[in-house]
Amino acid sequence: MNETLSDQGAIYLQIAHMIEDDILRGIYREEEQVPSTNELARALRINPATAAKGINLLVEQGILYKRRGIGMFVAPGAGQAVRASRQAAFYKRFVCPMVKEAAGLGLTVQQLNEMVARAAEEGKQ
Amino acid sequence: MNKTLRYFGLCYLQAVGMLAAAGAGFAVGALLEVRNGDPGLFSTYLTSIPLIVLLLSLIMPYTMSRNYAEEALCFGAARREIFRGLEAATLLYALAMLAAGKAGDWLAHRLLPPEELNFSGQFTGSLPLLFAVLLFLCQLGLVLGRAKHSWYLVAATIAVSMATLVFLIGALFLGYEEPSLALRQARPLLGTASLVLAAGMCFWFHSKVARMVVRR
Amino acid sequence: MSEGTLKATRLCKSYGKKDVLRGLDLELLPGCIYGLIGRNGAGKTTLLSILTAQNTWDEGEVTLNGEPVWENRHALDQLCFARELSPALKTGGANALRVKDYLRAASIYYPNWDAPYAERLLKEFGLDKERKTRVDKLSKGMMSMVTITLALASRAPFTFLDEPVAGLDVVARERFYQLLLEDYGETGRTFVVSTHILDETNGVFERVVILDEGKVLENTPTDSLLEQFRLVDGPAEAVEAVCAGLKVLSKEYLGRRLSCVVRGTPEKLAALPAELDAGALNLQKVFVALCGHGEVLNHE
Repeated sequence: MNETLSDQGAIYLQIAHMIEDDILRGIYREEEQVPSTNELARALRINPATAAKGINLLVEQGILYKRRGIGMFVAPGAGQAVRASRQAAFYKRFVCPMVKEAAGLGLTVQQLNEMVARAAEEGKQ
Repeated sequence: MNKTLRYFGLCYLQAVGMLAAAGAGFAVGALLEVRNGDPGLFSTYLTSIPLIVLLLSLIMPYTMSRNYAEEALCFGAARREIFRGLEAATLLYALAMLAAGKAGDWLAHRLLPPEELNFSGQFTGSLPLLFAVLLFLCQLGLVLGRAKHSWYLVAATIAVSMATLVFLIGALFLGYEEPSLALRQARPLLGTASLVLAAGMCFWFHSKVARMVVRR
Repeated sequence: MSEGTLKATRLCKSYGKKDVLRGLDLELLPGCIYGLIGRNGAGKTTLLSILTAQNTWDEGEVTLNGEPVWENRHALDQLCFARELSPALKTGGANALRVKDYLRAASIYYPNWDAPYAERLLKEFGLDKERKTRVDKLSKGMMSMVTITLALASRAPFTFLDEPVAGLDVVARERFYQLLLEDYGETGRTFVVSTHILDETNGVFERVVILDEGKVLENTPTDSLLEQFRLVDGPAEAVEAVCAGLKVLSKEYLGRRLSCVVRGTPEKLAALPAELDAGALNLQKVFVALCGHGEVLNHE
């Protein structure tokens, strides 16, 4: 968890986002323990209450669950859940702005699709 | 024990220690001179222990009080407590000063021929003046920058005390045998004036602090 | 560890003709790190000194757990106001006290004083050798470090720090935030830190109190405050249209481009079109937007 936090916007959302990213990347697998509130707070130099808020958000969403006396764990199916919500957001966050930008530059949809295919090819190598 | 008394206590003890050391130094010097024959420099200055006492008593409590009282408030002491601690510490200090002055005086009487003694006698005789000035100045140390009018009274009292000193020192240099014949006559007046001023100031200050304390 | 709430009601304070606090209401909850921010002259130091009964006030009241704080030994024992040390005393004259005098005073007056902790802090700050130095001979940075040592080692349930990082370099400031959070982690006591330097306090303050013109403008969790602001940027007409339903705090025109700071509920802000949404703001920008008394800027 080496990313530094941005000072823009709510910190607790960034914490939640950070943990979700790590789940997606396989750093935390299901049923594995995630860092405690205090560990997170210490590592990121933030208030433990804020770290707790981020974790609790994920608990509410069912991504994490608490084992009393031990700590916070990645819930079964969390990987799927995170992927699903990110996919839903992908359209609005990435695709729509890309399409608008392309249109603004005078690129046709066909040109755009060709670029997407090319990027996918390059990505495989 | 009152926290402020503990807080002030050490610095006053240091002052007393300094004075005791100075006094002991003079006493030893005078003793040696007398053993060797004539009273000399140290013996002369032995008679001025009361003078040192007076000077230190004027300067030290005032400067220390102001410093320490303001900081005590910053550490969350209640004003009443600061006041009481300051009074207690000052009284103890005054007593220590008196004892030092008396001891110096007694020693001078033991060691020196009568002609040398007048100067000393005048000072120890002015003890009420010393007391009043001390108490007054220490209570002023609590002003904490709030009472503008007290400065006039401070100036008046310091002026009276300084005038007394200057008079005595001047008389000594001018070679009066009874250097303070005039002062002896004026002493009751000076003493009374200072006491009245000091008492009035204390009363006024107490009532001002009482108002601060009681108001809420 | 903290008991009870510290509450100020309808506080008014003026220095001569100048009104510094005008009917200020504030409630400080136990067990929280507060950031107290405001412009110069907003009344931060005055407020802190009144909350700790070191200064008198004209109207209103200050209570801790329902009891008035004024001349109340029991309440005063729970409060610590570590003000900025200065080379001169308020009553005039130089501050001739030494560092060790301050430490001694702290050990006498603060009932929860933690002497070993104070020693560790002094060593860490490199002030171990400066014990006998007079305060008026210390550098500004060293004075700040003494203040921080006194505040942290006081272990008082309500601890107030007035501009503790003034005069500290970047590395020392970082260390201060770490120490503050460590202490909070151990003791859970209430800290109120007044500061100007906001851009590095990221995530340290759980709640933020904004003082403006003698009153409390905001007293809210930091994250909740930040979630209400956004920068909207783009062609003037589009931006104006989109900002119609939101509160606009500042406008800056550059040719036909318009940049606005807007405030609204997180739901409304989420509905902003992506190409005009220039992102969230940090605490410093939010503060400037709220207290800069935004004019409309027109760069032609």
